[in-house]
Amino acid sequence: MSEEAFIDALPDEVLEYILSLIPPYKDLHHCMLVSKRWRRCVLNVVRTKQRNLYKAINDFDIKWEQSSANQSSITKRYSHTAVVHENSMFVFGGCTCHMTTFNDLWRLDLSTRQWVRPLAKGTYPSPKACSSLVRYKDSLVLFGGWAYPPSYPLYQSWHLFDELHVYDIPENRWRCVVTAHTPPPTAGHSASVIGDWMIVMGGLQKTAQAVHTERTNDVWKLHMRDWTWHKQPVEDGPKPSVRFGQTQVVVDEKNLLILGGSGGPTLHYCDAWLLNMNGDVWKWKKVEIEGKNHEPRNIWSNPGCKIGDKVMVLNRIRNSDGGRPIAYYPKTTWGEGGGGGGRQPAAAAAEDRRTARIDMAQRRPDVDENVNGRRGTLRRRWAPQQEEGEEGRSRSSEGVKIKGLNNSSGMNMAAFNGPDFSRQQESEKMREKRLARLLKVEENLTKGAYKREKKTHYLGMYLLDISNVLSDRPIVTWLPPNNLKNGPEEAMLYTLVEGNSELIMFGGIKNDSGSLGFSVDLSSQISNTLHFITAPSYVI
Amino acid sequence: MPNIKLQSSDGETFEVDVEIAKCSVTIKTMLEDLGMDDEEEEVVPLPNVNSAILRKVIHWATYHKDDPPPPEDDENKEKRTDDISSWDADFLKVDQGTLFELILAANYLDIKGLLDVTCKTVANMIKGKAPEEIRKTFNIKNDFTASEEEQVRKENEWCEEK
Repeated sequence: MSEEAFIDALPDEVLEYILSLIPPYKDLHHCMLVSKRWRRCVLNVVRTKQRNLYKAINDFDIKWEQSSANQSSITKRYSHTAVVHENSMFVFGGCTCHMTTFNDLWRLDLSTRQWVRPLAKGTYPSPKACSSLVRYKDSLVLFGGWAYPPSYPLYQSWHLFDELHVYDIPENRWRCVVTAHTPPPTAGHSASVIGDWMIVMGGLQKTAQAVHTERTNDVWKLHMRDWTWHKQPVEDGPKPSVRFGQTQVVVDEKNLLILGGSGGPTLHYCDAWLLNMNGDVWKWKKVEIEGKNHEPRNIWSNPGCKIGDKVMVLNRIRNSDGGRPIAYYPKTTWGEGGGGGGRQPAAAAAEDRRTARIDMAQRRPDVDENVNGRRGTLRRRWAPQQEEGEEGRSRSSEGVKIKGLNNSSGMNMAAFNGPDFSRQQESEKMREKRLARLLKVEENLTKGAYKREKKTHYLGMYLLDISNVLSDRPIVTWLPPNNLKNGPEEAMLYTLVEGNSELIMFGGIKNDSGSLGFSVDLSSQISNTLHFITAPSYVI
Repeated sequence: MPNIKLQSSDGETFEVDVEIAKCSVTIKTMLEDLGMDDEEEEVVPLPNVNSAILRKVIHWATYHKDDPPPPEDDENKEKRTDDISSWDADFLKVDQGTLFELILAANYLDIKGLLDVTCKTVANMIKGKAPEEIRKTFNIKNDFTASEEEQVRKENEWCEEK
């Protein structure tokens, strides 16, 4: 070893650059314990990274990264729940389109980006989706949720749960907590931790006598030291209408913000309410919203995430948002998995695939690659919903063509046979005419298909400034979005949580088909990809 | 191609292609500011770099002379520590003293690529280690008292500045 060069000889900015390359979780925490100088540098790095993320978000200058395709992931899912604790993101449950809900618990090691399945002891929760999962001290608290009804007897409504489970992280044990007094079975509610309390609002509920599920705007609180539920009285007066799927954000110790949610199939809210938790009787206050023309369309299935004094909601990038031109083509489209593994530049590959697809469509209109597993492996016979009409038509045009071919070969034989030749020829002309017309229709259809293909939507950020939400006249403002189209394709029912100087999006389902609840195979529509939102990085 | 002479701290002179020398922003600026280029017998003194390290730096710069310049905006460039090329990995199989002197030289000469890859190498040496192992690896003195260390260990909210 040379005489004097130790790591301590490096100037602070170089040491900080090295530390900025360490995953900002357990490893970086270890660095903080090395020496006083290292601790100081680590804190600087953490502060800088956090500031950079906030700035990047405010400037709409974020970087999307996704877990590499060759990394193994867990089962595709949506309507699961996720929570970050120290070095881990925990994911519980969720569902697929196979009438199945899960009760598996997974841990994503945020330093190594590896999924780990902690095989927990104790009493497991039921398989369910749309539950709430929060962290309290060293535990995760899981409440409510729904599952598909058993297939027999027929026509049962969704099954809702009032189960309360606690997962002890160091012990790796699930515990079922039985309480005397409990909210009715609930799903799609929102939950937050404030001190020793878990505050639960709204959701779908099914009371003991009820036949159908009903939406609610009730507020419940759970004391997590003695595990008792209390229904929270709130002052009379204006309050948010009954809803589920809303975003709930802790503003401070005494105030919660409720954002959006759904009141039914055609009733999606974009409003904001402040719940003041002072005293024994709490009080709702309607929050005024500015920048309405910049609000996202959908805050019931696309969760919001508080980041600094903003709430971020991911939503389809709208053309009217004056988005910048496409910067680069996303490396991997949905569910495509490992295909093509980076041998050629992503954009070129995507372009190749696209032209190849057009060729295919022109040659054999009914064997669209989309249908046959460009996105997945399983063969799907019918494109769902709105595409079905056109699919059907082009299918029948193919049918006619085949018939025509058959007949023409029949015609040849008829020609040798003689008598009916002229009549046959006549009808053959007719057929050719019709065929030509059909070909034209077909061509238009393929053009149409190409147009549809181009209309892929991407997720972009919508930011709600909540810095003035606690003023006397509570007010929040949607900021004008300015998104690069560098995010993932549009999706919903994913989870979006804040890690250390990054945001983590996982799972979800593509929502262009609108065919949730159909029992066709939609696995290609569901995702198990991890997306990370970070600030662009720069070398010192 | 014109050559240029670089002189290390211990007086050794290296004759290098100007284009290669210019991967160091420090040398490039020096040449531009002082109008030193095209003059034959100029010697650039580099008092902060010894001959052993300068030789390695020139070796690295020669190998990487045809690399494309780093992209201006980092949109697609992922900040990963596992993308060190195998040539660089072999090149950096050196003792720690040399590694840190290379970092110092890269920092002084302002060679982004070399600084980047050397820092990544150090980061990889840190990752996955407990604090005590890190101290041992890099010969760092623990200047925390036992109770201070315990306190830092408990700083769970270290990354939250809400």
